[in-house]
Amino acid sequence: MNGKKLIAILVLLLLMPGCGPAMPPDAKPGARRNELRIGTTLPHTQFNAMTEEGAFGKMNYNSFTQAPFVETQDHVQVKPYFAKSWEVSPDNRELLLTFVDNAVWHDGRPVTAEDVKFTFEYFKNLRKSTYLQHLQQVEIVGADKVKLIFSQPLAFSALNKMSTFVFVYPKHIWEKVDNPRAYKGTDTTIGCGPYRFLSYDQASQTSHYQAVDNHFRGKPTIDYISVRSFATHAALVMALKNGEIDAVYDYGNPLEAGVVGVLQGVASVEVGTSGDPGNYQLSFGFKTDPSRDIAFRRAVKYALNYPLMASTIGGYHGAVAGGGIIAPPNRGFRADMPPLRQDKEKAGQLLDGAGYVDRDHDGFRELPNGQPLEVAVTIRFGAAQKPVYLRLFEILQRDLQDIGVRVRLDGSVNNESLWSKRTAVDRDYELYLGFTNAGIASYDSAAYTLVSVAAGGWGTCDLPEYEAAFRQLLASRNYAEYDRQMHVLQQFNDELVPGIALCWNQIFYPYRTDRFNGWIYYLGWGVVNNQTWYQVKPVEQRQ
Amino acid sequence: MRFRHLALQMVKYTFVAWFVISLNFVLSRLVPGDPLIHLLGEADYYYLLLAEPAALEALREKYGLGDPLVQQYGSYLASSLRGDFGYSYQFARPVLELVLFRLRWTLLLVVPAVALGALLGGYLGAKAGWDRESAVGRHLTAVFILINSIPPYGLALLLLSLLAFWLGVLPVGGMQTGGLTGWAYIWDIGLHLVLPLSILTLYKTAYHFLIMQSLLDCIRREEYVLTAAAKGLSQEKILWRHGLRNALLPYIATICMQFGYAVAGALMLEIVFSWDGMGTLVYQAVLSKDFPVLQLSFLVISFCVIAMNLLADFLYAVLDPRLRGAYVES
Repeated sequence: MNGKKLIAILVLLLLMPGCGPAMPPDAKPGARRNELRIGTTLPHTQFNAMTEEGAFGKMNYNSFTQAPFVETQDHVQVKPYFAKSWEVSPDNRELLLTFVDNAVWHDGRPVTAEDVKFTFEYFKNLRKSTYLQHLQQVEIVGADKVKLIFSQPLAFSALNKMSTFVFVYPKHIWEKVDNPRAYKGTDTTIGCGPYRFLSYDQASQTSHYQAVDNHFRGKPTIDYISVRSFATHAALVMALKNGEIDAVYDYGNPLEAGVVGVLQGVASVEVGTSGDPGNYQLSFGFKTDPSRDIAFRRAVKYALNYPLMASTIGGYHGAVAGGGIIAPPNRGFRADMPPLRQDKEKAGQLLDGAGYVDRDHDGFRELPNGQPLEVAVTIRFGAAQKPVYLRLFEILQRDLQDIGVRVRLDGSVNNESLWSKRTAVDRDYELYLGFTNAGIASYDSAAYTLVSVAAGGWGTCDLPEYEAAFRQLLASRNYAEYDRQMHVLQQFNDELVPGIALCWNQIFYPYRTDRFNGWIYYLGWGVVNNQTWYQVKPVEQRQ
Repeated sequence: MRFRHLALQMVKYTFVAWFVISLNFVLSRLVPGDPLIHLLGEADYYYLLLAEPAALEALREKYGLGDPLVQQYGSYLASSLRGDFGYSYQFARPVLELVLFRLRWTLLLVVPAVALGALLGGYLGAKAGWDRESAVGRHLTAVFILINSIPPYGLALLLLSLLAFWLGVLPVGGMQTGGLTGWAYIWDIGLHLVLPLSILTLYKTAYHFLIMQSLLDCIRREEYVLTAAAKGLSQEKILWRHGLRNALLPYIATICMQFGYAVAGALMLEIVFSWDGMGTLVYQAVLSKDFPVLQLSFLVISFCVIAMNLLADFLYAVLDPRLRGAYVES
């Protein structure tokens, strides 16, 4: 047999399985009629209700196999879930939770006050989580009531912070476990959420779940859920387009505009656009000059090319941000704040007036005391978004050099340990290109990333007015106070410039409409959320 | 003598194995960053770092991350000899079970690709190298050089977009759909294997083609080839009976090395096709500083390379009469 024939036969053999028409979505193997197929790039790592890791952990942010005490719907305010009502004491130091009395664990045992007390004590003593900081004591005050006592007036803040993320845990499973994260028992998935874990197929990277008939909220509208992991967003989009999945859920990792563009105009696919509650931002370090100088910060604010920053981050979907640093989808956003604008002349004047002049005529300014001025920029460490941050740095560098400020990239760009030390331990960065994610933005707000640790934040800004405003925000006793403080914070941010938002971005969580409808889209979150299990139905059921 | 030689070889490879085991231990600990971040989560880790550093250190002790390196090494050696490679920090599963699972899928993808690539590439390369002016020689050389210049993941994305996305005739990724049994299960795996296997085979073929072509191009100028032609043998017979036999030795060494490193998986292709093999396992383990997984993964890869070296030595002895005689004597 000659070589040509051999090649032809081999090619035919390789291509044969692909011949034939593509299968419609319902005909694909494994697609039960009332099975919602969710795609994600979160890997299936652990199936442990005590962790928030991997696809299983992050799916539980949607009140999935676990039941949160309260849940937030669409960044508005907390709603009851396992806790059917609550009272915040007048001094804001006590939170009384009243919970449902007919909840049952997936193994059939009833959920009791002991489970609730165990849960909060676990968070207080073992997990030491940021969700329930300053929790001092937990008391059972009734068969369906538990009181949380805080050492600071943060009860309302704690209620909001734990919303969606803090679930009730079964005491009878976890009390005997020393190290819940490392526990490898078969009951690690037990919860009292509307779905129970069925199985995990490692080869297809798909986990399966079944609706709980006797859930305290009623039987969900979808009988089965499958969650499948893909390696990249591109694979996710292709799978959605081909009908292999019905919706996308990727916590904190929405699809980019460039990837989603191919879904425009595709039948039965909605692109699923919303504003991003988080934002890219430039933060100032308040431990060193010149960042401590308000004149310098204001000059930087006027120096930057905001349209270019926005298009770098979001392409055609990026918009110039406002001075308040709080993104539009968030509660308390001030729409009256004008968008940031570049004015290099004004920037130069601010620097001149503050004594940053070019004494040696090398084209770059010196500090007011005559010392050389060179600003180091630290960028957020991470493989996925590094190209974006490096490009933002280039723009920042060019814009600042145009007003005579010498800029360099901090050495931590390739060293995670150094970056951690600089941004989390010593906090001695000068300028920091970072990000506020949707989780932080949902209640603590972007101000949390700017204000000092002493004031309860994560940043370095120790300006008394800003710290006081943030403390007031956390100490809010109701949403009216919270909204007022958010307005104040945004005003301070615009005037004092501890940080600058670089873009109001759009994010995408696409979904299909041919097998299921009734989708409810949460801003910045997508259609897979805590309402999906009771609102979404197979298309036939609605006819 | 032969027995003594074999014993010396075993001592040599045992030493190499110990060295590899120790090197793997050291290398995985040179990865920068604190593995506790991935055990606790970023938010909790940094909160503890600032608010309760003592609690963080207690957790470090609990996971054995604070022990002296020598102690960690001792534990590591002892447990390796027992076949206990610990639990994955990231997946909370026995590392051996995890690695064996991923290895299976990597071998399913890579072994046929290397074998097919070696056969096809060897055959075509022999034809092309023997007669550089032939159509096969001229055209295929250009084609395979072009293919070698294209990054595999680039071509993979192109074909995936065309065949899976636009035409929808093949799955977009993964290793199987799930929920199937019997022939449907095998067919489903085959469907998922088509694209990644085709691309990997194509690149292996190109690689082996160029190697074999270069070997035969040198061999055809040898005097014994001229002698064989003078004796009246046809070019086909000279190629397959004399030329190829001499090209086989270095060619087999290349194939054996390919198999050895193949166990590391084809990371880029695994990512493009969402193929959960060794490549992505090592990549995920590096990102999450999952030391136990890193250690066993590197060990498996190293042992495969050693094993293939041994196989190459053995095949050389079998195929080369010059070596076979010396081998028996020693």
